[in-house]
Amino acid sequence: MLVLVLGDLHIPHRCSSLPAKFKKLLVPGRIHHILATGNICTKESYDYLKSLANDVHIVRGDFDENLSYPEQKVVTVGQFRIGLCHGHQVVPRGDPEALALIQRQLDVDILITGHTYKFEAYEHGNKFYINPGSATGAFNPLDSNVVPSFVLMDIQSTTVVTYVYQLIGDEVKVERIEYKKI
Amino acid sequence: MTVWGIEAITLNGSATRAASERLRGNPGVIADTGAMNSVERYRQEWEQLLKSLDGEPESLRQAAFAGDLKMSKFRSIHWALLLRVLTSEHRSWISQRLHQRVRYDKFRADYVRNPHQLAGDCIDDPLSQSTQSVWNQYFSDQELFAVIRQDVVRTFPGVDFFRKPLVQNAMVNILFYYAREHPYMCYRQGMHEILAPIIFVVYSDHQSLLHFSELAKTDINPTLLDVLDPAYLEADTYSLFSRLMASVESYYRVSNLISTPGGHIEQRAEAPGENEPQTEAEVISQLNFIRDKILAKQDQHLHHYLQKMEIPLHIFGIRWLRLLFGREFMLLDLLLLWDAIFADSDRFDLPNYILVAMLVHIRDKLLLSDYTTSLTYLMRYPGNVDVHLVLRHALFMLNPKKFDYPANAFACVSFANHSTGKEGVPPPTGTRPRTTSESSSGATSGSQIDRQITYMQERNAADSSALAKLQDSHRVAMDGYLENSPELLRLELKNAQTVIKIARSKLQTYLGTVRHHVAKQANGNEELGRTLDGIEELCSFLDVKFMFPLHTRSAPIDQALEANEQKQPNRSSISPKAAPPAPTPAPTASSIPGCYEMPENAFMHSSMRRLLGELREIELSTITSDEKPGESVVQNGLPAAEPQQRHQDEPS
Repeated sequence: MLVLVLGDLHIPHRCSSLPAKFKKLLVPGRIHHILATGNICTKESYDYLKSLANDVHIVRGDFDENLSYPEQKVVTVGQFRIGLCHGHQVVPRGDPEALALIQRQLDVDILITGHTYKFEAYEHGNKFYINPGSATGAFNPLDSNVVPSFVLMDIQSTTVVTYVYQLIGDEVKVERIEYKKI
Repeated sequence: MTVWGIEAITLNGSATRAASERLRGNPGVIADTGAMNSVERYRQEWEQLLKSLDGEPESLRQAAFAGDLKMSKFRSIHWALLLRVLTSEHRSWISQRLHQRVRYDKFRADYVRNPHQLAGDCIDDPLSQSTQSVWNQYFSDQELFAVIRQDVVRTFPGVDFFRKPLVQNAMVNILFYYAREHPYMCYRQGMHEILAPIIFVVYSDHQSLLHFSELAKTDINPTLLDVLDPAYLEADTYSLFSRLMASVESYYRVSNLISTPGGHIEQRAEAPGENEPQTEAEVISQLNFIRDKILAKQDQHLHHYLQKMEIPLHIFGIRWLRLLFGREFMLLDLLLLWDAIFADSDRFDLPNYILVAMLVHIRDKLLLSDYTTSLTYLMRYPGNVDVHLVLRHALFMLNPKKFDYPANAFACVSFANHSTGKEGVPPPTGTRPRTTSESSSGATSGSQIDRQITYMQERNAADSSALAKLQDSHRVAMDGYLENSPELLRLELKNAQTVIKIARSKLQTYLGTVRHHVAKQANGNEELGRTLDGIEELCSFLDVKFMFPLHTRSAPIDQALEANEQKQPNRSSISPKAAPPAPTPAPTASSIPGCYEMPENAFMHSSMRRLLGELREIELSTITSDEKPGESVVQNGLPAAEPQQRHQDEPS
């Protein structure tokens, strides 16, 4: 089961579109679910995601036009409970302990957050935390040199293989991180 | 998400394993006496097969041509032999099978790779577009599986056998492996219908063996057990299928495709419909060859008709060829057809002739219909056609020396022509069978021959006197009508009469020639052929005339025709004004006039029957042979006889 995780697009406010190299990779028919961490911003972006996969889950970021998105969401894929939250509610921003709090609140195996514009994936207290970064590489007030990135999770029963796609220079670099549920 | 292929393999594997266990560990079955018979028959057939392989392998081919495999329990082995999947050296069958099965198992390892279980160190990711990527391959395989499965589940909707999940999965796997093994072919719609009969035959043979081994307990030939091992349904079917596809792949090949290993989707996208002549070059050129070289030769009439109607062969021919007529015949009939196709040769010439034979068999329907109806007949081939006749006819066209013309193949065709009457006399194809079929029937009873001869003599006398009468009475009759009829009618009448006159005199001439040469019998064949051509020409004349009464059905015209056709028995009933009759022949039962149109039809019928009937009677008698010996020179202007026709005449 392939799950695409991305967020913080900020189209059209901070970026015109996804990087062309990413768009080329994202073809319909391969991805089964999309988890978006928010700041999709416009309906057009949502429609684009919808064209990649039928099942799109979105939580509300601080710049989303659509106010009906939930703040937090739990999605079950295979044997994994996956929590989704944009992360602007978390103080301090991207702090592991603060995120662990949300993880416990939602009781999830994997917690996905955004808002830091920086890719991160780590295990903490036997749980898995993913931050896909910004798929467009949109600037943020603290860092103008953002690397565009998104995450693809391949979920097979008790294993998650996470592929991280980063646009470094003009090349798409892929990393692979494996997480096993105990 | 799992790969369908993998599912299928495990499912299939377990099922067949169970079956084979049953097979091996089940000697203690009660065998009653009735069953023993079938056991012995089975064993006997197997030994017969081996024996004929040792003795004369050619006899297998003959059996396939003759349709003797219909009841065979070893049809799949016959096919394997004919397609040279197995050699005739049956002692090495086990190793041959082993080789094929190992190769097929290797496909599993090579082509079904699950990217989810990849080792972590390789650089591959699910979104990769690289052709090396396992993921990329995996996704295109998924697409391919989806496409294949979509077709496979619809295979032969009427046959329950193809609804079994085991069979469907096996078919999907086979087609998938074939597509991967032959990336330049990939999977094209239609292949599943080629595969379906094969798997059906292999499966039935396996079932027969299972049944047999249950009853026979012990003493089963190990080769037999191995060669028909149900555990290898897929592998053995694949061997047959890939061998068959090698022969028919030209039907499927599309010239403008660039082979991209693994890129099934692209290929599929570029190969959509059947109606793209420029891309379907190979099969189109083959169909053109069939049309120009075979159909035109066999049935000029039909050929012209199709051209006139602008019905190109590829509208239906592509499907016929690609499926090897799978949609046109019932499954069991189809197997019979395939026996012969496989037995013929690797070049697969026979399908070309079968296609023509199928066309010729529905020629009456085609020639009588308009564009739309013709197309309907071609797109949905009539189900009541006898596959044996089609096959015999095709074999005859393929090799006239080796195969006899099917007796009574076209009797129905010719009769249909007479009774409908709108099409004139059938071209050579129609006249041919009479020479063979009628001669045999006629020879059976001497009294029948005598009667025929007498009847013919009577009619000849009537004809000649009628002709003589024609010279005299023609003018008179014309004048009489001139006063009573409008100018137009008169012209038409005159035209019709001229046509009849020409036709009749030509008929006489040709028949005289035929008689003359048949009497001599030695090396007269070429002229005989020409004579037949002349008769054909005459037919077209009569055809023109036949339209005539449809426009103008006033009494005078009928009478005028009567005046010419004194010999017609119905004359007396209509025309009091007609010229007095010459020697009257015995009336034929079929020519009782009902209305004004009927006499015309009746005349057409009887004259045609006479024309055709002469041919057969000539073989039987030399009595009338010296009637007009000198007339044979007349045919100089006629087209040269075709070789096929000459062959026809030889048996006479």
